Amino acid sequence: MNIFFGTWILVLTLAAFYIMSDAIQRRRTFYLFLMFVNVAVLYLIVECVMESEMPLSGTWIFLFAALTVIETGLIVYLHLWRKRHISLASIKDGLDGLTDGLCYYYEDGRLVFVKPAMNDIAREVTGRFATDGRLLWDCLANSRAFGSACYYDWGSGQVLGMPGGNIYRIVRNRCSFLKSPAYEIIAYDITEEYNLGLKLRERNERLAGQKKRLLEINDTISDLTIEKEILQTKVNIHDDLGKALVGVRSYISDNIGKKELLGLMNTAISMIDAQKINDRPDDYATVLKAAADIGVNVEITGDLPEGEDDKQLIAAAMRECITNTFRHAKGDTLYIRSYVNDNSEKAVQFTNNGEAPRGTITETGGLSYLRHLAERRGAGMHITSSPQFVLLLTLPDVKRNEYENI
Amino acid sequence: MKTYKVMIVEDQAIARRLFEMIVDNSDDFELLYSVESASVAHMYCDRNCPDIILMDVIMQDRSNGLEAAARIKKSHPQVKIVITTSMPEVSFIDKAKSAGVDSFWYKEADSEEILTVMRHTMEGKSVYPDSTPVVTLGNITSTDLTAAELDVLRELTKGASNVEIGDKLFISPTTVRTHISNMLAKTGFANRTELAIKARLEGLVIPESE
Repeated sequence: MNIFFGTWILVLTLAAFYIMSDAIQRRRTFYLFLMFVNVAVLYLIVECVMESEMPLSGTWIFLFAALTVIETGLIVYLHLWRKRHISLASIKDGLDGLTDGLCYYYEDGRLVFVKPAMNDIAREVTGRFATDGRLLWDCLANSRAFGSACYYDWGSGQVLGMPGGNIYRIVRNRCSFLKSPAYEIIAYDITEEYNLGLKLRERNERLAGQKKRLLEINDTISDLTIEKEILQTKVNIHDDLGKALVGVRSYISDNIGKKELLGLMNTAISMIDAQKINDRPDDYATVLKAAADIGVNVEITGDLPEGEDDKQLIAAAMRECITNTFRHAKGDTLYIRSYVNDNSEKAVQFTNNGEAPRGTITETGGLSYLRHLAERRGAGMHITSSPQFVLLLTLPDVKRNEYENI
Repeated sequence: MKTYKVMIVEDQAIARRLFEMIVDNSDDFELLYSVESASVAHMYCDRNCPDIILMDVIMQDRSNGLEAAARIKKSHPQVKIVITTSMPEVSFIDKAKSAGVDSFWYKEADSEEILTVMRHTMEGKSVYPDSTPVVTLGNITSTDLTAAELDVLRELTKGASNVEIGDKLFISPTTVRTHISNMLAKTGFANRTELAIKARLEGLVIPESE
């Protein structure tokens, strides 16, 4: 009976430990050892009971069960505790494996922990290994170096370049150690990132140069294309001249009439005349001619800007104001005054005769486009509606170079 | 017989004179204005509106006939506009249609005479060529490039990077790179710069002015 009972408990114990060890996964050997210890204890209890010829009481069973539960609880707790905590040795091993520099020190400069990489930095920056955290940070923050280390501009701050070629970004944070205020200095190794950044910067500069050349080529090609068109048209004129000459021959031979011959000659002569016209109109000249054609006088006081960008802007403003003069104001004269204002800026003011605006002018269509042009040029644009329409453009001093910021 | 008032917008004096003579020699058209820049075209329309405009696209002063046409159509929708160009730029036809341009005529390649186009346009017909002139680009012709490739090529001629092209066309830089690689493979050009320059020289793509 006792043997049967003991065997039953043994089987139960084995099953319980198997389940627990399976759930816990590792350290099965340890748990197996524990299991056999418990079995041995159980066996001894059973033997004692048998030898003393006393019946196995519930107290023994309860005690053994309690022992099993306590042991299991302790094992699980220990296992979970180990998962949530790591040893100081593990921390140090882990930190030593990082390439970054690390240093902890109290407020008075006493060091708590310094990584070898930080010691190398300290030697280059202070001339000796780290002994005082405050001194080390003072040198780093003020870009001081003892050895051949140097500082480079990077982003919004500076980075430290070591003689071996490593580049570090230094950061300091407040923390606490054993409930005392402390600081941590971290030197992030950004060597790869920095070198890639340099390559990227070189590449961008090269691309910016290529882009500039490509845009210049675009302009050249535009001119070439126009020349090509002109040339083709001249070839056509040459053909027309040929036809005219043939026509003369035919006229002499009485094959065509005078009227036809005159038509051919007229065509040829007109084409020859057209070649004499300057094919490159000036921005101002084009607008002034258009104004004259549509019956709007333009009175200019002062010298209008001659820079290409400024000319485009002023010519655009002239077009809008001329349109405004006859379309809205029902006037016939546009007044343009060019001067230097109190801020030494070149200013160009446009007003007109005729009716004043009925309300505040809203910038739509042409005026909206004009503002876009002005902003792109870096110029100021101001419109007044009362007592009369006034458009004022103020031009920047320095021409914006679109390639400078690449 | 009714005569229609014509405005010619053409920057080249020779071409402008040619159009003027064509109009003068016709019985049903009379010249109202002849201007050399698209930038002032709308001013003339505001003053004394023509019935039909012959509008060039690319001007020496960098003004754009298509933009001017769109502006005129907005304020004077009754005006008929005929775009005249010698550039085989593939997007011009679509842009012209978007701007509401009535007809489109290629100066060199179109067999139909300009007067015929003008008459059809005044009758209410819209005359557009079936296709753009074919140009040779390396080992291929312009018809061998897809619409997407041409869009990328147009931006490429501005010297834009793959990222900038992708941002402009709302495609990824990887897709841009693929299109450029495909074009280089098709044309046989050595690099993207050569591709951009050759395309620009042929007038196949013309970058929009900023």
